[in-house]
Amino acid sequence: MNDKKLLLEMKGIVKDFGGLRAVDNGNLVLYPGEILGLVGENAAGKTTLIKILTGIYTKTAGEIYWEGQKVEIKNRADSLKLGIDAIYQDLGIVEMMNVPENVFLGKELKKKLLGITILDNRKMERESWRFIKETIGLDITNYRDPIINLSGGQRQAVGIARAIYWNAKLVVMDEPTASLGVEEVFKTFEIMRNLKKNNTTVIFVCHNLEQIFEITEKIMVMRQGKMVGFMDIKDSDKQEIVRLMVGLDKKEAS
Amino acid sequence: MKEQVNIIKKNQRKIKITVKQLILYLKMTGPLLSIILFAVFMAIAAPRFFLPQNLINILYSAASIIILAIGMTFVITGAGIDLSVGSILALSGVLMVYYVKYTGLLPIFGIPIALIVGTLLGTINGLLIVKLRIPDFIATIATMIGYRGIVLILAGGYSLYHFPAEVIFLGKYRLFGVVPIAIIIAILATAMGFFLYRYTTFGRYTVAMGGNREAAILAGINVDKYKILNFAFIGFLAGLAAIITIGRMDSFHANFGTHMEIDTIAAVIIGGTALYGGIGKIWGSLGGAILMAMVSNGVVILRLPYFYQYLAVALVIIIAVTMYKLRAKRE
Repeated sequence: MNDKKLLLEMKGIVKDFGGLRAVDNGNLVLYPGEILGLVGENAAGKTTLIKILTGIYTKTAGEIYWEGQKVEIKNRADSLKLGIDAIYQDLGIVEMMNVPENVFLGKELKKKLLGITILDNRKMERESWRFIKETIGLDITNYRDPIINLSGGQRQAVGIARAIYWNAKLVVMDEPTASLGVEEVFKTFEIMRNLKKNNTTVIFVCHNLEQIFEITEKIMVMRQGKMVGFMDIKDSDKQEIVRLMVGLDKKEAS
Repeated sequence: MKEQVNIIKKNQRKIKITVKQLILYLKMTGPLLSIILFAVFMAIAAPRFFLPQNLINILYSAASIIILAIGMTFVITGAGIDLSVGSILALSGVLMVYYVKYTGLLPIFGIPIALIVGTLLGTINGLLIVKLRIPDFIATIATMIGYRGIVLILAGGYSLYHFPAEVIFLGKYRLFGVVPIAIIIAILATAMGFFLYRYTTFGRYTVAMGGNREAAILAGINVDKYKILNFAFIGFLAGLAAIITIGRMDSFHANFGTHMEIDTIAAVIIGGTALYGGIGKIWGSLGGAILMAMVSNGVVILRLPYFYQYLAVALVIIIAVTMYKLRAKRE
């Protein structure tokens, strides 16, 4: 594995909110095509660490290396430029907009008309329908309806299509399965495996350890802003992960 | 026999579809239904309402509000509000008339002056909201008072009359002596608004910002920039409305444009734009402004005392918004 080129390295990341240290000495190493499970209790610092990576928060201290180069991610546009995209539980979608408008939000397809650059709404409609059908296998017929009229699975498909349409190198999925049914979770996993095949790296934030053990190959555990475990999934078991998450030593746990 | 039944069934289906389409069409066109209903009422109550001259008058009197309402549609769609448009109109107007009256320079430059001043004042609103993080409502109340204060300092209590043709022709003159240029400008402003809304990132990101600000930020959209642009745009349109209003009256007074923000917001809301953002209806705002002008005109045509206008417009707003609520519930 080590002969592969590193995709991302986060070193000694610190994030303070006023007097509160949300992330303390956060470290993370990722290679292309990996699926990493990120776990921890609420307020463990998972979301903060990810938001630093996606440019929503700026770090207080620490360094980020992307494909070997030191980078500064100051805002969302910076992270999108690098090829880091994210799927959020609900946040990432504008409910009043329709499917193509959401899939292409911030990265609209354009065309020239009489020398003026305008949005190519038709092409975005066709492309979003085709893309969701081909990669996710979902035929959204009411793609002109506001997202608010769509089912949970359809919304999820839109969120995922948003992130992977532009061949992101790293996709962060923050609790993507939390509000899904069994079948939809299965679909999401299939998409994650497809991403892996295309050498896309996935960070999967999840509370459900069953799901983590099913899909990921590496796991990182955070507690109170600190990284307390980083291991291959095959060298670990659920009990150990839970122990790390809640901070009990081995004797107490057993 | 069987075939006949089939044909009848087919036709029934056809009719059903057309009714469905009609409802859909009415939904899309927003206040059109209210306009039709009111027109039917006027046709019975006072047929002279439909004299071509009166219909043109209605559009003529609605022109300024239409122009402002297009800008307001963007601001409200972006989950904002601008209460200072009336004052922007007055301040860009007073600077225009002072320029043409007292500088002795080419009067035609009064027009770009009004447009630039309007845009600048709108930009100031945007900057106050974005840079100082003052809520739209409060920032524009402050500038509504502040801009008006400057107008009063400059103009005092006096009225100014009779301006050169170079600045008033847009508001005063009629194409072929029939259709006021102001109406054409208002329609063009609406078409431009629709184009911006549907085919540019300016419109798309305004919707995103108003619909879900966080999602817009996550998509890498610079929401602050679009907030400022929204206010600059409505400022520009307020400058345009100033040129048209002053041209139409051929006079200026420091109270010019008072309460116009309320009429504008009412027109936008009647048009179906959601006050909480995310849904904008450009053609609806055009319809809303026309409906309000129709009602005001109807009160006059029906020879009711002038003050009944207020009551009538209030009723229109309540009925229009109730209709949207009922429709939304059913959906």
